[in-house]
Amino acid sequence: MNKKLSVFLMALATIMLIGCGSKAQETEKQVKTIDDLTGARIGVQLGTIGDIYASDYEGDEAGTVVERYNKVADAMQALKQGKIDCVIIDEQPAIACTKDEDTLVILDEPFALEDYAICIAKDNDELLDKVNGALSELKKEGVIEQISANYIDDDKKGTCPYVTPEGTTYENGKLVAATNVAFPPYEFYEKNEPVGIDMELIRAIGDKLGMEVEIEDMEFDSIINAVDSHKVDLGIAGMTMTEERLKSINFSDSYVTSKQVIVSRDVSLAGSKVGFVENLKRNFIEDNRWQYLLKGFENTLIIAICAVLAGMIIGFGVAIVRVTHDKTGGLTALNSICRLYLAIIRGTPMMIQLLIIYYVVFKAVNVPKVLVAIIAFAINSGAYVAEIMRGGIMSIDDGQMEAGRSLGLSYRQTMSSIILPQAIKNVLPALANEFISLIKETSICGYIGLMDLTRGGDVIRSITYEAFLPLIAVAIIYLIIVQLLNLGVGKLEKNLRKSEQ
Amino acid sequence: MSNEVLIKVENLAKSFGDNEVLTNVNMQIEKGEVIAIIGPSGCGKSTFIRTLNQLEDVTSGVIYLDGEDITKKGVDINDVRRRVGMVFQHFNLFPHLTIKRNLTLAPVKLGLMTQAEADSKAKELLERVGLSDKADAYPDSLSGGQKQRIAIARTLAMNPEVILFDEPTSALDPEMVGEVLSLMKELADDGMTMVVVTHEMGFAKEVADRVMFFDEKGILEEGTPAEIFEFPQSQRLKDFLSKVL
Repeated sequence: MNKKLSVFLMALATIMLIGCGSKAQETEKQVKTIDDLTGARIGVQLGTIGDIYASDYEGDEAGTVVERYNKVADAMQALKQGKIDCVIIDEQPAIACTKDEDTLVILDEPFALEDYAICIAKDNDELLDKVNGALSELKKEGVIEQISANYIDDDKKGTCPYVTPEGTTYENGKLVAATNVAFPPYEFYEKNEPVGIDMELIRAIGDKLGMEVEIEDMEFDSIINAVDSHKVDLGIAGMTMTEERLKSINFSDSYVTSKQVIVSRDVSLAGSKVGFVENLKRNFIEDNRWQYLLKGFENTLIIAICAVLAGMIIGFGVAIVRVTHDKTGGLTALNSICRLYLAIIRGTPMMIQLLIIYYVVFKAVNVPKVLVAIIAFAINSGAYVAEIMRGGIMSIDDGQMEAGRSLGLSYRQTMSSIILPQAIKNVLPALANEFISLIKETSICGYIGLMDLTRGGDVIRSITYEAFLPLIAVAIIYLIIVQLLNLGVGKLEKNLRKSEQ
Repeated sequence: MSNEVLIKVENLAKSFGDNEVLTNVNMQIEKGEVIAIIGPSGCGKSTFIRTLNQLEDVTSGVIYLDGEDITKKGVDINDVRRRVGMVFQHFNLFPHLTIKRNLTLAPVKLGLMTQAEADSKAKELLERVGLSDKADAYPDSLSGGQKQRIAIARTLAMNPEVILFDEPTSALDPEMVGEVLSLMKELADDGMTMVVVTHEMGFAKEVADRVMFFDEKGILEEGTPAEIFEFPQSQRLKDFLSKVL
């Protein structure tokens, strides 16, 4: 019965989502020249140079609106659906993501010219000098040109990849580079590996410096933070040097000049529909893209399960301190600490906690991201579990404690073998709910560049520029996890309820 | 009956904040004695009996158990409670455990018996209270009278020196009072030392060796059942008896 219902609900949800997704909207404004930007709805990628330029138009009398998206793919999807009128982005990504889209056009008139550079922390002049040295050598040797041609030049595309010179050794350690792998042709995934102009260039630089390059994929607007806090050594992500950015970070010499262009939608061009099956293949089968989802699924499960277990331990501890204080008046200092913990954790958003733990608490230490996420979610979940458990313990009749104590059991023995088993049984549904919401909350892991289920879907979206299928697939996977969990909890509850027959 | 004093209470006083509940209580209980404590509601009977196993601490005064002061700091209170059993008005059985586990939990946890020893003791006690068939049942499937008999068996499993009964039949349906009282009478006949706060005057009259009448924060009158019930001295006791008899 339960199974049938959940399958039905899933199907219903899917149909509803399909319905919403394919609903086309009528055109608001056709952007044909730069002047048309006034009064238009402009889409940009958050924190990019396009964002900075577009912000100049924002809030003018004509009512120009700037919509900031986390990914180019999201902005393009919004443009296709008529949610915005144009997108300001870098030329090469624009070319890459409009080539399969009949209705999207790049305006001939460039919006602005700009230089890409590598960002390095302000107090790391030594690395800055080294990188600049490597860049000028590579320029002289024609390597930069070769790499660009391999991705951009129509004649040479794919023919002249960068090859590490023979005899290169990496005795100078690791060079960790932050990027946002959603920006073709500078960085994008191919066969689960980040590739692109920037990726080859940074490897070439690493080879020059005798350092082994390690790529960290994160949100674009997190890169400067990561570099500044020394989470990574440098950032290379088609990043333009701006006054604003120079305040928090240093830039290397420019390695490429790019254009900002405007992508707009031309409704007069009829879009040829891609078949569903073909779409399915493109999103999941080609290049084994389903592996992004699998990897993300794995991480989501690992994080959720470890965090919920650790969270239970924290929660139990805190709940017992709080209850012991309430009932006996002892543990005053510990109780105050617990109350502070509860106030802070329950009073701030999970995402902020995750970012603070990653960028502030673990600023100087290199801890695997999965572990950071587990710690952050465990600390968060612990606060909620603590209050649930406290409620559960308080709901047990005082007579139970008195009966246990009058038999000569200690407070601790009575708690562990009489009060807690009953309390846990009472709060099991609430704990299960906490676990379920924790699983869904892990979807913010992308903010620290961790490949969870949601981000797995995001990566596919950034490759295929298709919002619908990856999102639906991700939603369905979450739904299945939660349904299975509900089933398990139902069984467990039934078992525990034996004593109430 | 021996004359060995088991519990001795000297100048006991108890306040909850500014509210004085007991004052200047003096009494002693000999081994094998059955004491019935009667009196109107709110006179501190329950509070008094709960001080005897230190579920309530005392504000001042001393309680000796086997000559040892159990109110002073540093006394092993858990050890005291192993020797002083208690039966509650609301039974307080552990609903998540089977009847057998209710009986064996404490002796095994405290390392007084192995599980096997506790199991055989439980079997014997369940036979004694006439509920052998309920060993594997859970408390919620029992009637009130059965629950209280199990609660008594649970206390007996600890081999206590004295059992405190805090209004053991007050929460029972009238038709179930008899089974509990007759079990208590059997215990008394077997020589168990018992302190019983009760509204069952028949039980007090028939089973108790001594009856204490609590009123106005302490013991107003005490004596044999005959003295208390046939020849009450104070006006308050006379009024009380005229209401309950």
